[in-house]
Amino acid sequence: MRVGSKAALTFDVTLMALLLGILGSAMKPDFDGGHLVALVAAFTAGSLTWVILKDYLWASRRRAGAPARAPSEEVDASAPGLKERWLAVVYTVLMFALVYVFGTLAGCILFVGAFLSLHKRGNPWLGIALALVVGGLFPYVLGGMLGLRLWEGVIPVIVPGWIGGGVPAPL
Amino acid sequence: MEIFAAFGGGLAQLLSPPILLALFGGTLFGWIFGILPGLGPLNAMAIALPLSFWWHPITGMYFFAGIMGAASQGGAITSILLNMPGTAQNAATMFDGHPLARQGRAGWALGIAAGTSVYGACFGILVLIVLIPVFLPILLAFGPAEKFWLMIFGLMAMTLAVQADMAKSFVAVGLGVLLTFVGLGGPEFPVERFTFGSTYLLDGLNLVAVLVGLLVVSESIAYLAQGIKGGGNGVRLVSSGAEGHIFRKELGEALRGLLVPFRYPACVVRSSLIGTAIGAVPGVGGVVAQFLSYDAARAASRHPEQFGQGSPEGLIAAESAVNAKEGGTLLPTLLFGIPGNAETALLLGAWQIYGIQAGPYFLERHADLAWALILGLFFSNILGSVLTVLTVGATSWVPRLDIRYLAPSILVLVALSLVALRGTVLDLGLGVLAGMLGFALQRFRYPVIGTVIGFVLGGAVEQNFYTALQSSRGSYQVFIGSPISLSLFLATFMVPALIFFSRFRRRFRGE
Repeated sequence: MRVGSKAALTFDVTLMALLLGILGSAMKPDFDGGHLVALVAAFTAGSLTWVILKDYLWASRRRAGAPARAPSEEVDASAPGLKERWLAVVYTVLMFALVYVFGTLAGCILFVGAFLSLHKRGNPWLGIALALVVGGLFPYVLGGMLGLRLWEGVIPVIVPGWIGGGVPAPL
Repeated sequence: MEIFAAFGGGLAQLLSPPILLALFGGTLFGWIFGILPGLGPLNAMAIALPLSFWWHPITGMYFFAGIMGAASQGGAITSILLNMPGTAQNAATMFDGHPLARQGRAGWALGIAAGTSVYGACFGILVLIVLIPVFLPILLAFGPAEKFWLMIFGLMAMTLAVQADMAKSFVAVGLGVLLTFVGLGGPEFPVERFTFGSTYLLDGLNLVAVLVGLLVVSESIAYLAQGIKGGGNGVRLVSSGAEGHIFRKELGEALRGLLVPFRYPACVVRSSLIGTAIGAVPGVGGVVAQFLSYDAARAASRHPEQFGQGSPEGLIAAESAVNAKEGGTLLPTLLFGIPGNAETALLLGAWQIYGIQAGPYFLERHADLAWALILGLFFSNILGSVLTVLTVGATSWVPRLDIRYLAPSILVLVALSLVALRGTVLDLGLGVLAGMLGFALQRFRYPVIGTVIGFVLGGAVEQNFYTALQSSRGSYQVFIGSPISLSLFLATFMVPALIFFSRFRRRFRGE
């Protein structure tokens, strides 16, 4: 996959902002959490500075028209693009949201069903069956037979012990 | 010595049904995950980790040892049958395994792989048992300052070993260590650090949720992306044309293959030695061991021209190394509490769940757990070989699963594991966040394993740092006060400096 210099720099800069925030907090006079935090944050920020400089230098050479390619750059036409990667992240967050709202059992079924219905053509019954087996049977086995406590969801109670619990998770 | 006195007890444990069940279960679980390309022992252990909370520690160790011992055998199956490594460390197995399958000798190749796995694993375990009493007296001289430098040296060795930019490796490790600072902590009375007023974060970031997120959720996001790109048609891990006509049930050939390694004893011993030695170096994985061993076998072979065409020697070299390395990776883990690879990093996670402290005193205090791992590894390799040989006719279909069924299924398993961990959905949220971080790190070529190992070791690094300072009443001289700590201090800085200088000189010369 082609590692875009702009995306890499953006990630590096975001990471640097986070590290500088940690370093700033750790260096305040009233911070009692120990000086090791500042030491590690400073070391990490220093290493990241070197990474940013290298990525920036490479990006500058590309803008100048040099045919230079980053040492780790590969070209792979079959690799997912930016849109697919962002969608995958959205689906993962969606899974969490569905489980949070509807509970583990219903949330997993809805997640698998949603993904397969949108991205898998062919026999819809196979998708529904998989959603029920993977999304439903596994939680039932773990929760019902092994007695593990599964999250019931913040919606009002629909199926006691399984769907709906009515209490938000304390943060 | 206490560790060997516990050996009899360790063997007796194997007669108990729950232990046998854990060993069989772990072996089967790891073997199946090894067959599925892209997954492996790491994913299997990460998914099982939260569930192990409810098990007795000994049972847990047998289960994890089962996974570790059998996963590479599962990976060898897809490497041989379908020219696709089931796990990354089975890559070199393809070179000679698949040509043998194309020649109609798939069963024979699987038998060679199964047999070699057992012999390689036995070698690695034997070396481990022999070296334990050699190292144990040295370990007792380790105080907090020595342990601090040992862990820092281990982290350094890992950053040098991974195939990534050195600066990015440092960043990844630093991030992992920083994550351990969230929650209550500090040099004296514990204070809140980076909790933002949240009671959930007071206990710190949950170890299992972060590890599962970084390792499994990130990989699942990548699979989801691949599945989305595939469009309406089948997206299989293995391209179509799985050659059914090549593969036929060859149980007899597989059994004959089990004896082939005895014709190449030098190859088995050399490759096992390389695998064990490489495995003992923290952060260096089975991939390196396998390729080094393969190259060495080709150089020493009387028929190097056969390598890559279906040479049994090539197959033996690859499989011996990757299975011998398991014994090697346990060496720094059991002796020093430093994970030899990502799997043993998860093992340390399991110990933390059980409230067991890793480190130089582990063998003295928990010899039974150590034997559970060693014996579990030994027997799981044997069981894995039996599984491989007996299922010679039935294993070809698994890697052809559509990735769009596989990816959401794995995420569901992860969701179940994390939600069941402490009964709170917030652990799943943390896992998802860690997964997004891991996915981003992978995307921009930061080694995620650095973050994992930094996170596993970070708490102990901090604890030993402040304990050493307290013992010296604030004097930093304690960190170079003893011969061991001074040696480790020098090694930590000189080794990367030498390597960096050597790379810089090569680049300057245009090599």
